[in-house]
Amino acid sequence: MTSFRTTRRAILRGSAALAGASLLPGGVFAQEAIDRVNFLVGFGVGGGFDQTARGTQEALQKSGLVANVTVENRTGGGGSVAIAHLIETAARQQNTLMVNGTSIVVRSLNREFSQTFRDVTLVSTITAEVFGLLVAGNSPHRDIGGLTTALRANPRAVRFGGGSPRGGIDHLAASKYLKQAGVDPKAMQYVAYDGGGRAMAGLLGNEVQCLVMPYTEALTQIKAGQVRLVAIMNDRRIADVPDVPTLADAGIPNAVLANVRAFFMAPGTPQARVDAYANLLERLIATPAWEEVRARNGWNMFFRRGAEAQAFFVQHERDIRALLVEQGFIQG
Amino acid sequence: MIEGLLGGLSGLFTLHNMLLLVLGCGLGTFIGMMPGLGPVTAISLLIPVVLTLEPASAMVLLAAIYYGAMFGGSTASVLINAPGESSSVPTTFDGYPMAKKGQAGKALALCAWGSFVGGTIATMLLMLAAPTLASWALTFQAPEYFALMVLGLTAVAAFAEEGGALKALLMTVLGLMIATIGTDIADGVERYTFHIADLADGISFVLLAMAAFALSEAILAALRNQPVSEEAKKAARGDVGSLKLTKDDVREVAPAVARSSLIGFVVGVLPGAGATIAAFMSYAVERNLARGARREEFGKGSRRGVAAPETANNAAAGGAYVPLLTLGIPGSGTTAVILGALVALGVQPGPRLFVDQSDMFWTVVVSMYVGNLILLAINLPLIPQIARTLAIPERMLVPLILFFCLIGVYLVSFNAFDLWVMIGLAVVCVGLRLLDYPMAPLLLGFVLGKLMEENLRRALIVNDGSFAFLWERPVTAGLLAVSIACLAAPVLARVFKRKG
Repeated sequence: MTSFRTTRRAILRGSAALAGASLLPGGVFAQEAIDRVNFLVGFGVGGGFDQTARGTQEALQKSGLVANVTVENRTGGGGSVAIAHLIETAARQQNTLMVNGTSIVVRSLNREFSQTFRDVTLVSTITAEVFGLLVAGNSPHRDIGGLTTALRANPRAVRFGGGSPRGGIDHLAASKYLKQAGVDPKAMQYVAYDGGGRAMAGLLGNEVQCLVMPYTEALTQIKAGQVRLVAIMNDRRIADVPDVPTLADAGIPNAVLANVRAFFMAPGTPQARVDAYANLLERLIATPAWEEVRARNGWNMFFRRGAEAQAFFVQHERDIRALLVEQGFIQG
Repeated sequence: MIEGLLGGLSGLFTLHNMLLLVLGCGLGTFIGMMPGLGPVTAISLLIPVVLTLEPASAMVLLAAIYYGAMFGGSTASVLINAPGESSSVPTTFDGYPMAKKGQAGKALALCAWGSFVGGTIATMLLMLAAPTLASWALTFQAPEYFALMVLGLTAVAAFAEEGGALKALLMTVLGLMIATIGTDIADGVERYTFHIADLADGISFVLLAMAAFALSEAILAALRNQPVSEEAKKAARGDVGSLKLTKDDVREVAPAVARSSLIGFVVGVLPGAGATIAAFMSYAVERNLARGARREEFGKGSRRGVAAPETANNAAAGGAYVPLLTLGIPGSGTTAVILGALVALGVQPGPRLFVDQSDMFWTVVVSMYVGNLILLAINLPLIPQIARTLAIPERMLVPLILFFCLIGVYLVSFNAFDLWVMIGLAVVCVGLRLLDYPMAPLLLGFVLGKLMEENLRRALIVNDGSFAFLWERPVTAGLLAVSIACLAAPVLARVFKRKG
């Protein structure tokens, strides 16, 4: 089971790799020096993927690693317009990192578009927004135990809300929680909102009683005491919210899910170049400039590169496919 | 409160903060004027810079860009029929006809004054009633949103005069139909996309507005190829008509501005609605309220029709700060980015913001009052200059409009497919306009239809498929009753007149 957290291990490994590289004769990295990065975002300005791109841009520039960093928002088709663009113009996209992640997996499984993450070159994952269960501050369900008990007695006692449509990742996260808790997910009442902000309004107005979404999107309301984060869908507790139990702590095993963000390059990009960008990102996440951006956004670090990242995505796809099949959205 | 205001004044009147305020107002105006460039893009680009500032200074700058853009949005709507940003779409309905009558100056002045009053009243309401309003906004749920959209749609009746009822109705239905293109929000199912990925996110509102107004207008102008009219000649000389508002103008517009300030603010407070809905609602209300000759003017250059939406969108920008500051809930992309910046600066939005961060709150409130004054001071003298740059002969204006439409729509998505969609829609709209079909109901149906459907479906899910919420929830029932009254009133009036 994968764990998402701020980790120093990956960072140390990165610096070791770099130290080794500089000893290589001929300076392999000198040939692949990166003097510009263009982030391609398939979604509008202000959204989660856009924030990842702009946060990374800021850290790259402030840390002095790369000065020339641009962000390009090419919207449409739930990100597929950007993916198609990256594939079609691969020859002139040598400096482009596309930001995507869990979204590409869910949407290609739902047949919203034909491309999969295999059609582009995965460079690395970067962050993972762990899903959390949120109830209103004045909710009668004091903790995860109370919430689960109520749902086991009556699956319709609690109405769920999320920022994605049915079959989208928020809905799947809620289904996973219910299934692992021994409640039939098909009995769930799920209300879809157009984004996390409106879903939050629905929770505060008691239109829904529980939100399942990446808890980092709700940090403001959690801190203000307007909502309570009763559990996180991770396999260990997270330092930013140390008092919040995982679902496993509450006796609900194997309910782990996060919205992973990753960088992709055009298909056919030479391996040396992909490695050079992965090295750059690995160096970046060890800088104070990155830590500042990360802490400000409350991002959970999840840096995996190369074969490790590829293996993660294969597993991620398998997990999400299983959820979609269970819910009857796709055939097994 | 006096104490707070004084504290805010001293917080704002430092050289640093005043410079930021002026900068924000100027930048916002410019961004608002450019079709395709919106405040969200500008604010996102500025975030790294903004985060180096003190929280209060940062908020002063960001807020100024936001309401500055609302202020500037009217310019392109009036002069070239292409809305600077989506909440300025209704301004084109009457703003452009006014400009064609040689009254561009007056139209822009009405926009400027309306924006000023709307912004100022909204700031007052924000100062006086934010926490109360925030908890009210939360009681406004899917059934209420649905009823609000229905009320907005009744405005179609106002467009339906002189036997044009059927045409207006058909255009509304067309608008509702176009709104269903794309992935639906409840089930994630694609509708009318024909498996074209570029259509999966639906048709953008700005694109449709550009096609229906600016682009089809340009094509019609080229088709007509009329001799240059007296007004156009005047416009070419840079004569945009008087900027001065007469007593009659003020008397005509003042009640509309007052109503629109309130409507704009209230709709702006609702996180599920926003400035565009506010502008349409206020336009619809004014059109419904107008009687006789005044009503005939709508769509042909009504002064109220220009002032109302511009007032409302500025008031809505102020209203959007209520859920943003007290609940940490953004109602739009722009406020979402502002919220992100706030949190990054260590400001904790929430019910306690007024206590814990009172210095910042009051500085921002005072900056909004002063900022609206600055915007008025920047915009009024600039009107003739701006108008002159754009008021060029029609044979040059047409390519210019084409340029702004294409660039404007491309800048939103960077997707060339959208350009083809816009051109296709514009051609259809040209045909419809030649047959005297009105365009405004099309946009009204489109903008309200999406939210109406979404909220109706949400209400049905929440209520287990029962329609009882339509009469069981007082606000919903009230809004629906007003909608029915709006539709029935003209009919009843006619019946009584005949009897009398």
